[in-house]
Amino acid sequence: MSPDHGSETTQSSLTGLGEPVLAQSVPAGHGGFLNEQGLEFPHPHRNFFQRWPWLWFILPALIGFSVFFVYPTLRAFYLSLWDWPGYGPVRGFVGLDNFVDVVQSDQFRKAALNSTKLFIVIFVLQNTVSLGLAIMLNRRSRMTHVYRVVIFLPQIMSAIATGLIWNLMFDPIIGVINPFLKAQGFDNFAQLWQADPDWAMKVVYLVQFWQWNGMAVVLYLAGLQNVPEDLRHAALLDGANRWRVFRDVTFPMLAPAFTIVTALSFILIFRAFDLIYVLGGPSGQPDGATLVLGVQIYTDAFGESSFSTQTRMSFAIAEGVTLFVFLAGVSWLLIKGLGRREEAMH
Amino acid sequence: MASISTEQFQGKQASKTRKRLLRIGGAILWHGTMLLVCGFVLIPIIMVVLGSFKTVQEFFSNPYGLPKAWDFFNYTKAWDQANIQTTMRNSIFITATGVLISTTLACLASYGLARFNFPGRIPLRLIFIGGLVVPVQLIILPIFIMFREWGLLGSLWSLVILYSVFGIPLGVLVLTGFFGVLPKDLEDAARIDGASHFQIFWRIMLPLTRPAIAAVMILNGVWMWNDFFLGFILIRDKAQMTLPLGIMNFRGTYITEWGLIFASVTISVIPVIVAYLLLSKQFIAGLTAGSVKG
Repeated sequence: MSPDHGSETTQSSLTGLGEPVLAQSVPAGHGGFLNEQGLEFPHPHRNFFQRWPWLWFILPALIGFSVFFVYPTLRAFYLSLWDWPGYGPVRGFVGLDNFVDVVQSDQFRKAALNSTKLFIVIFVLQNTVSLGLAIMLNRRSRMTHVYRVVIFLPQIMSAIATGLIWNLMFDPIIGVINPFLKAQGFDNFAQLWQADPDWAMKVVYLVQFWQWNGMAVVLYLAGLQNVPEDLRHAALLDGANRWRVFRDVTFPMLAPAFTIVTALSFILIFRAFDLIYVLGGPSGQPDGATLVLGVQIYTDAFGESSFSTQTRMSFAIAEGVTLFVFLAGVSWLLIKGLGRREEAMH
Repeated sequence: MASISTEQFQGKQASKTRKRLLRIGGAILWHGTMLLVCGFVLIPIIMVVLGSFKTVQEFFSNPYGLPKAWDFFNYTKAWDQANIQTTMRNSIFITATGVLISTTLACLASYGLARFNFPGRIPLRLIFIGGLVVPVQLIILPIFIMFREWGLLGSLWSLVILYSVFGIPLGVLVLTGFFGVLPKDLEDAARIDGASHFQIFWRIMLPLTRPAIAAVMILNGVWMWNDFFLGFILIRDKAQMTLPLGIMNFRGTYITEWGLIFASVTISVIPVIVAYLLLSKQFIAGLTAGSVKG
């Protein structure tokens, strides 16, 4: 193996080691050279990047990500320890007082409760309605593709469009649902849907499910299509009925899809903002009934309107940090716990 | 060989008819359920499209029927008055640049993380992917403060920067999976032929992961086109607003101009729906790739 290679012709002739054998075969700018095993050797005279070629690939993303993601996240943790309304001078170091306030805040608890309820409702619907639809769609028919495309459609629409679409449906004055109910003679069923604290959150459940049903159906359908047909046929031949086959063969194979659907909707729901802001505004109208964590953090940081001076930036940041720690922790447990169950099954 | 008696034969015929009836009944039930679900999905969308052709009076006199005339007056008004011409241009700009930059960064980083063995690559990948669980509501607050200090607040570029960076976690999640499973032999063969690391990446590995890259571009592109929150925090100037911002801003000012609002909504969803109908397979595959690979 020659110690010379690459473009270092001048250097090698200077050191008197003779003509480099590899000079023509290894182009300039190559990070190192190969030995007989095909492993790469870093050359001691090469610069930083040539010694670590992976750095070239990672560096652009790493710089952007550090400046606009890691640094702000760290700064958020730092800022959460101070008392600061968001403008003007900092009022002082308060340690963990902001977090004590967050935990004791009625608004935060209310928002956390609403977010949790929203997650539970969507979780139940996804594992009954969406799963059922996926099972129904898991068969070959000329229309299957069409139905699937339609069911997935709301997923690609903006939350703003979705919110406004459903505002039209439920609007008591111009809306579609109330006049329709009245025309059919069901006057008693007409409600002030979004103005009634009992109904407003139910409207949010419905709209949220309308938008995210498609995602769950498609993911469960992909999971079902991974179940080998042979396995189901074998079980049927062995005399198992359809329900047993579903329970003992198909359902366990759906575990990865279940993990993904659950983790994804968990993260998406606890940081949801756009849709619920369109439906309930900055204070979760009516009367805080539709207040969720994403909206609560925004409102604490910036106030209910652009004229508001009641901003509590450091408090809002503490709320955000609390939410982040909660999301990271639960996602970790979900993926670990459910992943282990999947492994145990195989 | 046993011969079949008449009784058995008739029994078989009867069970055949029963089976056929069951199958037809099942098909009716199946299509019925599916049509019901499709109605649930499509009726609200249809109502908005119908609404975009109505005058304010028609919303009262005819809340859920067809409009009197298929006149585009709301659309022409929305184009000028609701500022759609500007917000549409801004949305196209931030989505195109955001997708381009974030995909480039994510491809390079994923390749580095998946194909090279160096200390710290597993924690590094975890940090990138961990970006997916950071709530936007949290990270936007320090960024708002930073951009205010740097004088970036309110410009379209602040959005371009954020979308370019915030698109990385998903890209790394999907693409490291795809780059990781490509055979090592390909790389070795190219290396022996004298290709540099970048040439191997650009000429050999990148073309092989094209479907995954398309999936990442679609997922991030739809998010950037639809996103409201980031712009809502960072942008105040009407001339810099994106489509969702423009619609919400217009709705705040002209709360009863329903026809105009719904025309704006229709205009804003048309590009995504057209792209979706043309590429529905890639859209749906993109979502599955994004999650199953994780």
